[in-house]
Amino acid sequence: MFDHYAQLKEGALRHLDKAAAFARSIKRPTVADQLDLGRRHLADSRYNIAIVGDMKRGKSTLLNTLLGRRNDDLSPIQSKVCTSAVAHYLSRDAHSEGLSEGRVFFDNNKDPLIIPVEALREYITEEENPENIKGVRSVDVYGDFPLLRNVVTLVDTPGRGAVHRNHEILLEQFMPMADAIIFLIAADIPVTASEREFLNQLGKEERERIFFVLTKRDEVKDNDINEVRRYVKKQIQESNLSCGRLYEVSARKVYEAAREGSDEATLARLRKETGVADLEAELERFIIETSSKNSSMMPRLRSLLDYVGTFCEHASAEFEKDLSLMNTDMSLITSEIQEIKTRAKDLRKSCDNRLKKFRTDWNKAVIQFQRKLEGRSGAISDGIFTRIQKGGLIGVAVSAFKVSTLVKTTLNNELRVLLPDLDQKLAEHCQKLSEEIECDWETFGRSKASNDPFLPAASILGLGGTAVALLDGFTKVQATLAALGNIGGQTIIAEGPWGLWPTVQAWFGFGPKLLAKKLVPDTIAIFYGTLTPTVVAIAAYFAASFIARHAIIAVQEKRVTTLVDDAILKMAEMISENLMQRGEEIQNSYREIIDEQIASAEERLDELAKSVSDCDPSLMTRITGQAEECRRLLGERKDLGHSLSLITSFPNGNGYS
Amino acid sequence: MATPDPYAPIIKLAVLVNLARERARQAELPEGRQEQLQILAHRIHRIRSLQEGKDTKIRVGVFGAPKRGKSTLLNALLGEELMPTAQVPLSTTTIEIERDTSIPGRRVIIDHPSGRIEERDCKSAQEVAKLLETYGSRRGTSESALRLRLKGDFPDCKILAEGGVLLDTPGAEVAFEPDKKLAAEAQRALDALKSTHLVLFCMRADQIGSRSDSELYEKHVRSLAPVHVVTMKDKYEGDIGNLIDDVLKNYGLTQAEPTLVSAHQAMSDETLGISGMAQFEEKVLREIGRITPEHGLLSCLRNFELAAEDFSEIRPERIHFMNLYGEIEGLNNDWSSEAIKHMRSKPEFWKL
Repeated sequence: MFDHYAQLKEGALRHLDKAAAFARSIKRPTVADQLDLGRRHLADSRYNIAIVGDMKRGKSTLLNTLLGRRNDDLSPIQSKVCTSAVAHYLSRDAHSEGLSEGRVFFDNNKDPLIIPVEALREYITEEENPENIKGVRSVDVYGDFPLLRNVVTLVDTPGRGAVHRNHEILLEQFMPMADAIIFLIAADIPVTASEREFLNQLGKEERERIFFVLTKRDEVKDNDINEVRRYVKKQIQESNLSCGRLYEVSARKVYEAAREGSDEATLARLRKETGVADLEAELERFIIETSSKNSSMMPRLRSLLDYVGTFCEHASAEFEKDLSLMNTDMSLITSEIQEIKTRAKDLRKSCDNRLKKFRTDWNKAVIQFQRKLEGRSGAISDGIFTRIQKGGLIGVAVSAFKVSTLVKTTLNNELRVLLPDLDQKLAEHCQKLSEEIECDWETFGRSKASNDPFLPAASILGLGGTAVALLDGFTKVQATLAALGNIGGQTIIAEGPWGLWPTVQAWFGFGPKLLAKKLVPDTIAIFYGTLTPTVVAIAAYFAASFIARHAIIAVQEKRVTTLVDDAILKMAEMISENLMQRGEEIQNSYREIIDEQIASAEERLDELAKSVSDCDPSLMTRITGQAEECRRLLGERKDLGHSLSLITSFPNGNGYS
Repeated sequence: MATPDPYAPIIKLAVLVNLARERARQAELPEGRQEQLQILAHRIHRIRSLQEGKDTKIRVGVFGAPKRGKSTLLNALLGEELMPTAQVPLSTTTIEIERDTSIPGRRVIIDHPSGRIEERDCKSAQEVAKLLETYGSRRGTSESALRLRLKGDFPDCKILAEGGVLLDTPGAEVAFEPDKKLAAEAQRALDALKSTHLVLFCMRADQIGSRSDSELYEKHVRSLAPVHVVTMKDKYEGDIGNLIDDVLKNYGLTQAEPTLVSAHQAMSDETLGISGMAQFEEKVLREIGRITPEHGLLSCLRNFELAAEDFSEIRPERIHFMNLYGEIEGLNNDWSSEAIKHMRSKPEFWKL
């Protein structure tokens, strides 16, 4: 029975398994849980076909035949044993191992008892459980019932019309759960008052679900059968039920052949000949037809498939978007890194030139100063000589000290005139350097940050997003997937102030305030701030030590002028040297800082480039794989949907070639 | 001196039993006890009905739910297929079968609803069956007869030869009819029971435990002390011992009570021996015998003892017992002496 549907269901279960695994693999546990739940429900949901009838109407024989049994161990046919509980026969799950088992459910909702099927008799026969003293509500029998596939539960009901009325109460409770009801009427004792009562009861609510089956056809002579048929139909109609067809089934022949060990082909032939196959086909047609209309399994299956479809379509769209974004981003990021690096080189070169220029300017100023100082040396020495002559020198030692002091004072005075000019010039150079570097840096920064409001913003966003994702372990992919949230719900693509540029800017030392502004004055302060005291100190040194040492002789030999001259020249040279060294130091520390900044930024760019090249294949492959899986699932879903519609539009399988 | 009336003690006993029944009802005795008294009253009634001349013959009714093989059983007893049998329950009218040696073949007497009585002599069994079907079943085209009688020689039927009348009653179903509104057939069958001296209650071997049988039995048959017949024993799949167990358990009978028969087997010479028909016939004849005053009196006395035992409050006064004793003594024959002997053996019960 239900071959096509069983195939569809198995296919759908596998499909749902795959879809759940897929959802889990792309970090969508909620979807996966939903699918698992749906799968469980689908796996557990079966069509209930209830076999009802009065006692001794051939229920067990038909049941055993429909179950494909070769003996009556499970549902004994023997007269003495009377079923006293509703029994559900389910095909054991193909995945579950082990022997057949029975589950006994009790009235008081205590836990079901799991027992071997052989022990079921203790609970379901009138003999061992008279008047249902054990309070059995129903039993589930899991066994090897290939004919039921995984889609049908056969419900064996206690024979009606027996002395034990509790059977009828039981039966009434289970009737509404049946998708189809096989009502057995025995040809040799057709429609008794008990059956009429049941028919009247059914006639109040049922119209279609009932399949009337005339059993024990072979107990009636051929020339009597027509009368039996007429009588039975009339009785059914009088109960306000429609009896479109009275099935005639001799399940006994099939069952007996099965018990005697006939091969499957013979049994299949017998099933056809005895009307069993016909009944099965009609049951299938009816159930699938009605179940596709009402809220039963078909719509559930359909909605599950739709769920997978929606999920996959959505995920697929996301993958496509990601992939296309990534394809662009990969080249973009590489070229952008390259560009940044090139421009960083330019920046360095420009800074280098600025520094060189600064150095030249600095040195020029120093030399000018030196020249000026040198130019004043004659005047200074003459002045000193005159003062010495005027004052008259008494002792060499005293004169030398006096000369030294005199020189010192004179030089100080001279320097006080000359130094401000130098100071001003050097300060200007420093300021200029600072401004130039600041300007370079700003130009470099601005060039990428906002000169084109459209393209760069997009590319930066894309680049940045991907780049950050790459660096942060697929953050974006995860974020995108997480943002998928509920299928059909809103998709929130994680958007952040991501962009490579701000990051890179930070690496290069740009922030709200530029590097140069912060850096240059400090550097200049260190080297430039001590200029005047230094020069004065040098002068003092000359006065104190050099001139003092040589002054006595010079005074004696009347060579003071020459001495002072020499001293001033030497001093000017020293000052110049010292100042130039300072200029170099300023230049060097600038360069060092710039180099350091650029190098570290380059290093990080390299890292980024490496991440891009490292991550690219695995991520792409993975996302490509996932997108493919997604497409496969969509294809599968389409096929299953097609099968489903075929089954529902051609319930008896006519739609299949 | 007038010949003593053999029915006189029975009539006296009937008065005592009715008195006891009335008292039992007032004393609210257990139902089982009241029922015993009812059965006894019925037996006495049957014996009396013979005396009163309403019945010259002992009426043996075959009774049961539809499709219990009643007609088939009768055919087996008659040795001929005279009763119409159908796959669907159709009979509407009770058929009375009686021996009349003056009739050469078979005669069917039809009491039409119009009041006309028609007599039809038939040449063949088929003709009989056809006629009975025409007027005694829904299958027939004519309006059902009020009464159908079949008369003939029936040399092979011991029950008829012993003076019995066999009644084929329509199938009666009482378990499932709402508010006791019984089908006409069931009502006719129950009416037929009233005029029956001996009930042969048919239950079907493969329907033991069905409520149709059980309720019919409990409501209408148990109190009539029927002969229990399990028909279609050949239809029972499985051990016959199990079948007997089942019957005993379901109807609360003792081992000796049910008789298992298969009319189907009786139709063939090969299986006649195992059909159980001979034993069944014997049993029926034995029961018929018990209905005569000779056999009935002692058995009724004994039943009265059993029913009224332990409940002295329902027992009639000594004067009533003395009256009964006097009537029995007055008969002065073999069976009355035996009864006297029995009563004397229980002087405290009979207040002697």
